[in-house]
Amino acid sequence: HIAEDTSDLLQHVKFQSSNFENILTWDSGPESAPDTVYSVQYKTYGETEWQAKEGCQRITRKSCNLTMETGNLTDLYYARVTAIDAGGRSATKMTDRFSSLQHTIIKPPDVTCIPKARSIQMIVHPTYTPIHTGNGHRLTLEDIFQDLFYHLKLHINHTYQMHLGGKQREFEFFGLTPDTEFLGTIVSSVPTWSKESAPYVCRAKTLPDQTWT
Amino acid sequence: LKTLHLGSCMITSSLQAIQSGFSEIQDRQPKDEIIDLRILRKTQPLQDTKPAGQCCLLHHVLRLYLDRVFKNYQTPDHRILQKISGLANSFLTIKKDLWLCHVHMACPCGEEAMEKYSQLMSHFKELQPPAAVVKALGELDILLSWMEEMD
Repeated sequence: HIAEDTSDLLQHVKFQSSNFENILTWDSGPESAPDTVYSVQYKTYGETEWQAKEGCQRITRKSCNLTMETGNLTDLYYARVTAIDAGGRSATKMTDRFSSLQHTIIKPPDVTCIPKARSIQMIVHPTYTPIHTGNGHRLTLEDIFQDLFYHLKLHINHTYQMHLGGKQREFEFFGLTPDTEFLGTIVSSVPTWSKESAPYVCRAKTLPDQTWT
Repeated sequence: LKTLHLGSCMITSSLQAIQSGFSEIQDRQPKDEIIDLRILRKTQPLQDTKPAGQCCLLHHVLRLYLDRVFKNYQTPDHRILQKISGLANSFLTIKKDLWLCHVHMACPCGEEAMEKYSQLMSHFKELQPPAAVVKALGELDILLSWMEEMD
């Protein structure tokens, strides 16, 4: 009996993680029919049992949220997808070993830019993750990555930029021209894990200077 | 540079450089197919060891990697061998600093540290040597995250 090659039913099974939201995604194969159904299992590295993911059994969509099941930062995980087509053919594929600390991407920070007459204040808001401590406290990115810091740039003109940076959440660019528009970019960075977010961009116009009217 | 506090032993190390070196070979080394077994287990992490024994446990784990993992890693890819040699040199530097702590009586090997190390070794020996080497190298990110928590 020659085993039928069914690897064309399923491909690219992997985790996509940002800010510790861990989504399992996959693609159907070139030959798979639209009525193919998929079932997801996951396991902790080092353990023997696979667990069926409730809510992702015999589904037709090609993604499954495994955030809660893969939320322990000291654990590493695997997931696998089984595709079954109407003809009963099936294929199973597994992810690489997944570590949320290593693989999660950091989203741009959430920032409020407050223009004044001769300065622009930037307040970075905490970024909460789906990760909870034992007593239910929800962790922020800053809680998880001790060396996370912010790097801010204010574009003054084509050649001149002002830079600020640090772990604090409040920053202010001083010495600006009143009634002028500026472009600010703010990036989160975690050196230990070589992570850097895409920039948060804010445009702000300084206020007219009332003191001399 | 990061300062690692291991009981009364304090050393500095560039974990980020080691992590980067490891990341460069991670995708190019043979896949660890044995996913039901883990050598560096959650039950024996460095950070849950009593501070007094942390230096000793780390010293022994680094010696395991130097003497039985890096030394026995087989690959035709000389670039990977180069990276592994870089990792080994980083580990040697840390091990030398730990030895200095030992000289200054700041790296005692208590019962708990030795018990954890022997458990870890038993997991390593459960596997055939080539598989154990691949698995241990694949778990370098676990060791680095343990060390990362020693600040």
